[in-house]
Amino acid sequence: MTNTEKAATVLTSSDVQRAIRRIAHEIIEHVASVAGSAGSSEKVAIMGLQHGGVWLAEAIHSNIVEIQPDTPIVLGSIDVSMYRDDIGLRPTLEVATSHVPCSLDGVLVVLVDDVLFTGRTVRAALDALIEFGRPRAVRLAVMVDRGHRELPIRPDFVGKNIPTHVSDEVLVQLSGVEVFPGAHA
Amino acid sequence: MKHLLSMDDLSLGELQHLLSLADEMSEIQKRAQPKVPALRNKTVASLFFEDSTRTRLSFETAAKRLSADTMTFSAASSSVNKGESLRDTVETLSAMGVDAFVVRHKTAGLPLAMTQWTDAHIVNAGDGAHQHPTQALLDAFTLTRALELGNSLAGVRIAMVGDIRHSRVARSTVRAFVLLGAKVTLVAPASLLPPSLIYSDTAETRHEWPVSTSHDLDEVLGEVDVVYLLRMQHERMNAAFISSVGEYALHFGLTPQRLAKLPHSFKLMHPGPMNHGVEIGVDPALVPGSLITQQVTNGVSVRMAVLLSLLGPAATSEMTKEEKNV
Amino acid sequence: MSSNKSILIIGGTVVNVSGEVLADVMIDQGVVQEVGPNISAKYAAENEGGPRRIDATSCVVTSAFVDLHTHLRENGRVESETIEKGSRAAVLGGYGAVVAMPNTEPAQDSVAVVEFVRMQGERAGLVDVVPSACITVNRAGLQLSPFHSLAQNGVTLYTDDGNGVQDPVIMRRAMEYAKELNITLMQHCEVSRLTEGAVMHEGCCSSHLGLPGWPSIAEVLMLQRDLELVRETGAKMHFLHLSTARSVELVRQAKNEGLPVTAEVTPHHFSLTDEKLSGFNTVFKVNPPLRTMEDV
Repeated sequence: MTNTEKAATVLTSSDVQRAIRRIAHEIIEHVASVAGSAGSSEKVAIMGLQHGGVWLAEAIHSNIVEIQPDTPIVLGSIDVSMYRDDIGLRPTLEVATSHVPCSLDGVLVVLVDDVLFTGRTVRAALDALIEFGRPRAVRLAVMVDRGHRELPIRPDFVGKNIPTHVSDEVLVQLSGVEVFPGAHA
Repeated sequence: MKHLLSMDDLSLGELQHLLSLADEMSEIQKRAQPKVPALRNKTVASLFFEDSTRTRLSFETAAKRLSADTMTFSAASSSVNKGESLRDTVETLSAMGVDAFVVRHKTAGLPLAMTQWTDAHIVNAGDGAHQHPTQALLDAFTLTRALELGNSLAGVRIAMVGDIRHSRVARSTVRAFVLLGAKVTLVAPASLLPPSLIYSDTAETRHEWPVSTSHDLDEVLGEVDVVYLLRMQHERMNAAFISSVGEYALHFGLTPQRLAKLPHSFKLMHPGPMNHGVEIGVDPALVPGSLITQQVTNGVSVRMAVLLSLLGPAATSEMTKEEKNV
Repeated sequence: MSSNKSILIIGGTVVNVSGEVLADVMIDQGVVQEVGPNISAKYAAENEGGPRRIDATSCVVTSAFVDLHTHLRENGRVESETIEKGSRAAVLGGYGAVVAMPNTEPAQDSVAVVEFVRMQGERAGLVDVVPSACITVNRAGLQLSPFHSLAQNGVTLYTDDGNGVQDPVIMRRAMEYAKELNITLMQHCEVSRLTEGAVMHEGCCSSHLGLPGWPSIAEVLMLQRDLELVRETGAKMHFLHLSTARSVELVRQAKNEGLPVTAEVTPHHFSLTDEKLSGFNTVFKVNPPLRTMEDV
């Protein structure tokens, strides 16, 4: 069980907001570097993963719009529950809607999630994404990379790398990031 | 939830959960590629011992959109004709590796009995005049979404018209409507109401049928938001239930004259198949509030939701931290 | 069943018309000679030529029961039951006589079939098997059974059990014969037109389950018709397995009026209700059906 008393705050609210701002800048730079070589600005879709990545995607999206209002950018969300490889292993199934605002053909998609752990959610998200078109490229932005990858997946934009034990729980909110020690503690 | 046998087994919370899940399924249905891999290692067998168009195809479409394998059993060309018992048939199919049976049979209670014969999940697609729970779910889904009331029908006044006595749709859908807060009036000649409402109108009966009743469609039409027409089941009109089809149509059919009296905002529903000129004397395509085709469309979404919630999550396994945090 | 050997049943709880008493019972030549506490002391021990002794401590001792309504299924349905097996079950249950219902194949509507049943009962030699006969040929409700021949051969009970006699002309004629021959008709009270396809009591539970119901009125209507026919003809009539409170009331009233009628009610009909069927358990599907709380 989660031991609230032992929770360690690893990022404060302002840390989180700064990280969002930085990721927004990095995405703009990334788009600009591609545009520089291609000669025109390409369309970007910020896609939050249901549920934890959705608010983060919204925050990153609004920061980008604020920093550079003329960026051709759309915001969406994607539900991966139907694409998971562990669908029969989970006791409950929390399904949410995918909102894909346009065809993803030729678009630069930035998948956004709160925590990157085994990589299986991102694997499922890649499958889910393909149903909506053929993106030019897919990048990955996460607030926390906690390690313990089980698949060959790495993030392109990271808020913070946090070493954890495999049984820990990591809670990412706008108000801060906390780590709850797992059974090993 | 291991099986879906009767609307009586569903709490309000479970009903609302399925309706919300159907929203997500409906989004998948609207995609250019309306298929997800969720149930790709599962097999769904449909066992229809009674004729069906929409229910059977709707279930099979739902299963396929979730990537499940489907097995189709047709009683007419099976060993049932060689005298194989139902139980042996079910056990035989189970032995081939079926994860869920979707069953329709003229015998009330058969789906319940099947739960004793197989470990697979059982979905009741209609048993006699007893239950047809996915019809109730799609009716509730269609109406709540059409009225934009979220997962509620609080205060909505619904007239259900026709042969309630022999209707598994009525037994299921009334339960769903009432659970969601609707006020339901059953409109039929006394002979087509459930006998308990006529002969033993006790507290117990009222508990089973929390509805009001009327024998006068014209009187009721002025006071309802929704008219739900039931199919006149000609095959069951064998014991002087009605004088004639014409007499029934005259008093209990939705005629152009009656349609004219309804407010513009009213909604029309029918589970299909329709008897034109009997319970419905108007062209539903020309009725602005008709939800009849939406009922069919939503049937697939709702059945996807049912199959997914039965076959998707693990029934018992304890969720470990790793699984929770991925 | 008689025995030349005398028997002494010791220490049982004797149940008879005067109630329950802890007593010994002395039987000689198949007839009860004496009942009383500790009478065993008066008799010589078994190995000294005295009566055979049976220890009945903590047992109930009564005269044997009579089952007025036994389906022995022989001939025709011997895979379900035979007269020999049925006799064994009866004697183990404390029965000394059973009335064999006539719904066999062929039905007990002729002297030959009735005599066969009686003979098979004697061959089994465990209880008195008393064959009843049909009211109509093959219980079809169309042609009267040969009452004179059957009565001459000692048949006193007649029934089409399972099928009520629907046609009032047939029933009126049968009663005329019954009065003349001093035999008893046993009616299964059911207006079959009201119970077509029915599988359980028509009421709250059947409405809920969507099952075709068997209304109480189907029994009550037939009972009332037959009571009036009895009033007119004076024939003796027994009403089989009544299931509704109203039926019991009608029979009580008829008896008070002096009509020659009797009736029976089964344990399941006065102890269980149709609620038992709410889970579709066919163990509780019986004919006539289990009724409601008001009827038990």
